[in-house]
Amino acid sequence: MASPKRGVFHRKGGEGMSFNFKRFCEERFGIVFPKNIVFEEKKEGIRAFVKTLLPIGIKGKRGILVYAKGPTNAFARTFGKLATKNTAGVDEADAKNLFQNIKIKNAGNLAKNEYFIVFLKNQPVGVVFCDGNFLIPAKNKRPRTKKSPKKKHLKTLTPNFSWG
Amino acid sequence: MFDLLQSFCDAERCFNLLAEQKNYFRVNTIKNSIEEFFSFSSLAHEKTPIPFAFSSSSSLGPTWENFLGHIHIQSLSSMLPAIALAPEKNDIVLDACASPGSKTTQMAASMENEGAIVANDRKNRLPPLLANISRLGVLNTVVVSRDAKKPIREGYFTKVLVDVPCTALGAWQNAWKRFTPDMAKSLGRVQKAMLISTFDSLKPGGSLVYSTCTYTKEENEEVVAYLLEKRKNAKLVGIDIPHQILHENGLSEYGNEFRKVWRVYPWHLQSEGFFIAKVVKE
Repeated sequence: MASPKRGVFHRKGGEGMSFNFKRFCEERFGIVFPKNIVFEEKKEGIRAFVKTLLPIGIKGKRGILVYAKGPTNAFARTFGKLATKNTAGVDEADAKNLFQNIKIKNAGNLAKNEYFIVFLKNQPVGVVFCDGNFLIPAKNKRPRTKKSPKKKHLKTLTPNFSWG
Repeated sequence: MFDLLQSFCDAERCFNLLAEQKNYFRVNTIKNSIEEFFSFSSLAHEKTPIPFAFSSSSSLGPTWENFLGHIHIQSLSSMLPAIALAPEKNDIVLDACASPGSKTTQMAASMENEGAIVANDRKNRLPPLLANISRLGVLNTVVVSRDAKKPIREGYFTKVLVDVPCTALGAWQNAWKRFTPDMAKSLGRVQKAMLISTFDSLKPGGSLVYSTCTYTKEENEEVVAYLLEKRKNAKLVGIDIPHQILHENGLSEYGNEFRKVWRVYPWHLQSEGFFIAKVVKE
């Protein structure tokens, strides 16, 4: 199965094509999910959670959002370690840029129009989409409050960003 | 106001020590074991009485470990309610006032990302809760926004954690400046309603942990005493934490059984002040 186009969310039954996220991850990243993980399609995207939540029957947001117009960073950080292919290593400077939603140069000649899971020191940091010349990060969503707007928040955190 | 606080705790000592509290973090065992974590992280750390928690003299916020969800910054004393509740893999847990999710995610880690946690809070408090769940890779949680003063589902949950909104005298150094006795009384009314409703959500044989980060008896012993009076099948039990944690017992003016509840002051753990009570439903 081909990768979905970036920004296109294939709804179940939509135009005769059903986007199977599990199959997409298997074919694209070689990820075989543990048997107790289930996926559900919601308006915002696809959420992943454990099977034991199914009998609860209380309406709410279950688990984490793994796909929203593309694989999410939360997906990469949670399941990225299971990936066996289409991964890319970056240095700390590039990882910082990706974290701030800044695209970075495609130095490793990664395939165009495809998704990659990015690793820093063997730890998955997120997902990028390669447009040929650049690697475009999946957006990092942060809770916004009146006191600390997003830009200010990132600016404050950036200078001392480091491991340990 | 300070004199009033002095009447039920060593207020001056509490507030002075609160300013000197250490930075604590918890290793997110959902992502890595403690050994695996320290194999790739060089975060400066010291051991604490809790095996998965560490103190650090360095700034923990702007680190990759924190951003990628390998650690969670959390005060040592706020880890105690979830340890006291001890949820296991097959439990169905209700976290009635879950945001920002420190205790929710801690419980998820102790349940090894299995079972089920229903994390409830007000709608405007959900974004940080969802962000922490996502960052720490928690997959066994349903986030809901219901009125905690009404039972979510009667007699359903095997374990319940009620970390109620409070005057935060144990957590915030300047809290005493805005503190008034009326504030404690009005919050006490809300806390009583929440405790009763969450107790009703508990399955017979299940256990409930009630906690606050404040010292006033109106928000602590009095609320638990109210539950024991209104629900005859509620029984106060001792807190069994398998680590050496210094603490004081509850105020005995509410009865001898209140010696089973814990009051943790800043001088016990160099951390926030906390009140913890555990109740079972017979």
